Amino acid sequence: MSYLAKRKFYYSILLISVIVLLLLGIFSLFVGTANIGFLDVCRILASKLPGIQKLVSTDNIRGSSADIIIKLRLPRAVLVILVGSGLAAVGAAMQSVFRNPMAEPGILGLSSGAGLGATIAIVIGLDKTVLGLSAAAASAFIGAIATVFIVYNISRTGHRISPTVLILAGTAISFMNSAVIQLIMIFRRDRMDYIIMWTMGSFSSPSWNKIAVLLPFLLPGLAVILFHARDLNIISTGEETAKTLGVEVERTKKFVLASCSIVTAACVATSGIIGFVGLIIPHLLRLLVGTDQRVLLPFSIVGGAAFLLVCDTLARVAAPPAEIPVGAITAVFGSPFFIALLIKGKRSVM
Amino acid sequence: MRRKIGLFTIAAFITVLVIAFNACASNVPAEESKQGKPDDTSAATSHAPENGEDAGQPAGNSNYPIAVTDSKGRTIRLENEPERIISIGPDITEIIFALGKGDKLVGRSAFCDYPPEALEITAVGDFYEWNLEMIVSLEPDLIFVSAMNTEENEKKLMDLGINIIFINKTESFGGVYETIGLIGKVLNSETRSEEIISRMKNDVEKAKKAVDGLDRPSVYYVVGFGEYGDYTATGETFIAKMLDMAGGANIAADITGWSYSLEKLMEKDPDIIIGSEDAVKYFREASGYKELSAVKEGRIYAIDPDLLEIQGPRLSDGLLELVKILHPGSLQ
Amino acid sequence: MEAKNAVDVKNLDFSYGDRKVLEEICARFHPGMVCGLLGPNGSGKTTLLKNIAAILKPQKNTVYINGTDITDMTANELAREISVVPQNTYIEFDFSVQDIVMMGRAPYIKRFSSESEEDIETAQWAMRIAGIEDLAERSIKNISGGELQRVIIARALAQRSNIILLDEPVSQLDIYHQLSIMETVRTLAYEYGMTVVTVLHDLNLAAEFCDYIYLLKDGVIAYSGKPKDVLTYEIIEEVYKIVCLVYENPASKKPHIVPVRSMQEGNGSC
Repeated sequence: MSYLAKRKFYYSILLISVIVLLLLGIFSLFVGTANIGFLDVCRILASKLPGIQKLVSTDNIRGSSADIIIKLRLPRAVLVILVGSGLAAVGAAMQSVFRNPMAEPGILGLSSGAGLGATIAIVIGLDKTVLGLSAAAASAFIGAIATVFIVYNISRTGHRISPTVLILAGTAISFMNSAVIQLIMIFRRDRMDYIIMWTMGSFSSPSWNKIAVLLPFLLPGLAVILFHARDLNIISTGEETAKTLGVEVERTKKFVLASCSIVTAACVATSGIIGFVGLIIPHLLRLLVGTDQRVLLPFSIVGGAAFLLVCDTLARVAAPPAEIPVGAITAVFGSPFFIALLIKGKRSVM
Repeated sequence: MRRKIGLFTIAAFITVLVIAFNACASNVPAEESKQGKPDDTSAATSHAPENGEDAGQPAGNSNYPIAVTDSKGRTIRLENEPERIISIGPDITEIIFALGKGDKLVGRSAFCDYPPEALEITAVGDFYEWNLEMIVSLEPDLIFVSAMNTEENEKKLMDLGINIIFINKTESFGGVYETIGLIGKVLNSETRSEEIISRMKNDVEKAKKAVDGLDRPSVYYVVGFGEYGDYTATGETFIAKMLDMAGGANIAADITGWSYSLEKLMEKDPDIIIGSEDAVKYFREASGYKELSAVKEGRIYAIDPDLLEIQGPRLSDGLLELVKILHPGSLQ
Repeated sequence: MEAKNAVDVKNLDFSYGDRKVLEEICARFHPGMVCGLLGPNGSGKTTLLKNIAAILKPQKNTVYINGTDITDMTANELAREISVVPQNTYIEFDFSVQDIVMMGRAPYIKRFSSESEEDIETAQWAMRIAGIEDLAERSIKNISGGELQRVIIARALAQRSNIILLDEPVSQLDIYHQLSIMETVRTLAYEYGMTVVTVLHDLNLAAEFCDYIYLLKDGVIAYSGKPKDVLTYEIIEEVYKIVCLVYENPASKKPHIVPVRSMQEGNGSC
């Protein structure tokens, strides 16, 4: 297949993937702990669609069922799709910027910064809501951005930022944030449960509000990352080389990392720390569609969304009435993959 | 409940260190079962009348609509007597049963296991996760919350038009009376709640009178122990107040923050040690702990921690238990 | 009047922090010629190359292309004028050879638009010159070091620049690949009229393939000129601190250097 035909082929596969994702999303509306019949779900959904709503009667369906579908399952599915797409795209972009296949959205200390931000809000006992988000979520967002800001400035020499120093600084600050969280928990035992609960990450309290808060960060962020897809390809082959190929390397890195940080911070603030999506999805897709970011990024967006949606649906229905934290499910899927990747990597070295 | 803190500490450390694997900690609360065995407890069940109408109140909804203010200062207006209630908090579940309104409960937290009838009610989540879908599908008209919760969950449910009354942990018997009074008012059983309150007040008076003027033995109350770390009822806690009311001299009264150490415990070497069955068993066997005079000389006593930690109608029973341990024979 | 496609370096100083690496460098590189940058380790030849490529930021008014100060040019403009074959290439991700060569077209492709037929033809032309047409679909993870170096040269060619800078292009290759790649490089100057500047370690390769040599020592250009004028045993002895013999290569009539021993202290010199 010729060079361009191959990409066209991938884009048609992508279209199919989007359709599959939508079907998965619709499917997730039909399952849950509350027992709502298939036809009832259809009727509830149909009753909300303009045009045919008059044709559908929901008279003998319990009012709570409609609430469950429209106000719980639907926003949850949307939220999961958004967060999954954001984290996976950020992971793919960061792996290119850092030229490191182990890079993931938390690498700049974002997750730990968000955790610390949330912890501080929880301990201070802020219970205001900001833009429909809890104080903990807003504070988590600020914590994540503040952490990246610090990490970035540590790593900056003049106009240049070294990816290696960024990763090291991110790791160091992560450890420091974690240590501070631990200390706070020791001194504020009474708040410990809340802190742990926050860091576990979950979609159990979805709302349209959260989606409305997430979107203005997520969409522009993803747009900026996609905008730089070709530059990311070139940067992933080496920064100096990228410069000689006409890429404004430092500016691209700055824009992409800032977008990655904002997207991650918004995702983490609305749903806690959800590991692995940002690491394994880009890798899995690299094996399937290759490493060209112009193809990989859109696939990551769709794939991350689909993966997280499946994980979250499992989390909801696997052990009723309890909900398994979605982070546990992603890790259960993620860890074996990660290990397989390591083993495969080892073989190719030998 | 406080004993779980030890496990939480470990879980928390793992959580934070291996942040990507954060979910491991989630199983901890579920595995840790509560200490209380209903049979061990004293008279609490006998205080609860048979489920049914509150005799002192006129039947029907004549008292409604009513408006009450919860611990968060929110005013909740109820048009009718709540018929489908969810209680997220063991203390509230106990109070509701004591008020004879257990039949109105349609949902509870996983930690609400007293009285035993409570276990037959659908659990809608633990402290960490509320299953919102399940809560909504139970179509409650009122949710009481005393345990952990998130603003987001609360807001979500309020948006769905469900009333939520939040009740804080309290630091005094007065606070518990208020809680019982509030729930009594909301559930249209004020006479019953008055009875419970006066019975409790009576017991507290009895305890105070019994220990008045007696020497105060030094006492250590075990919250956590061993590899999970030593935790006790430090000065600021409600249990510390109860120890004081029961005529004991809490060796941790001068510090705050629950945390203690074996070293300090050995240094203070209290006259009496009180803890759960598990704690007593551990203290008798573990090196260091078994060297304490109170352990060697048999002055270590088991108590059902729920009697002290769940701020419901059994609290005064807990106080009397403490008096019996600290000053045997002082109660007539 | 500046010559077309010539690179001019005027009084270039460069420091890493406090450490002065280049001092008062003046040099001119002409089209159709292969120019060699030689010198011992640490003499500043790679630094000079990176200044010309604007990988390092040179001072204003020191490096000119066709009379334009390169600090006034955008990265994109520069990439159309100068292509670079770096010293070591390690690519973490699993691109195909064609993907990499196509990156050479980056300065010409607008954002969001796909490669045109012309871009694809140019990439194929570049691969043909570099002798890697057959590898187009292969993964760069599965080709040899010599092949990878040719891929990188093809990428540089795909830039259709008039100036190509190479940093030790053959230092890690076997003798066959050293010669064949240097022959390809020479073709670029002689047949395509490009300005070729290459850092070289191997004095004999430099003697064989360079038309002009700048010999650096401690950040200054110590000697410059045609190979037979620069690569004499006196100069080599002074700059490289070795004892050597210089013959004339009977085949090419170029100097041929046979190193004898280093002039390390205690080694004794005669």
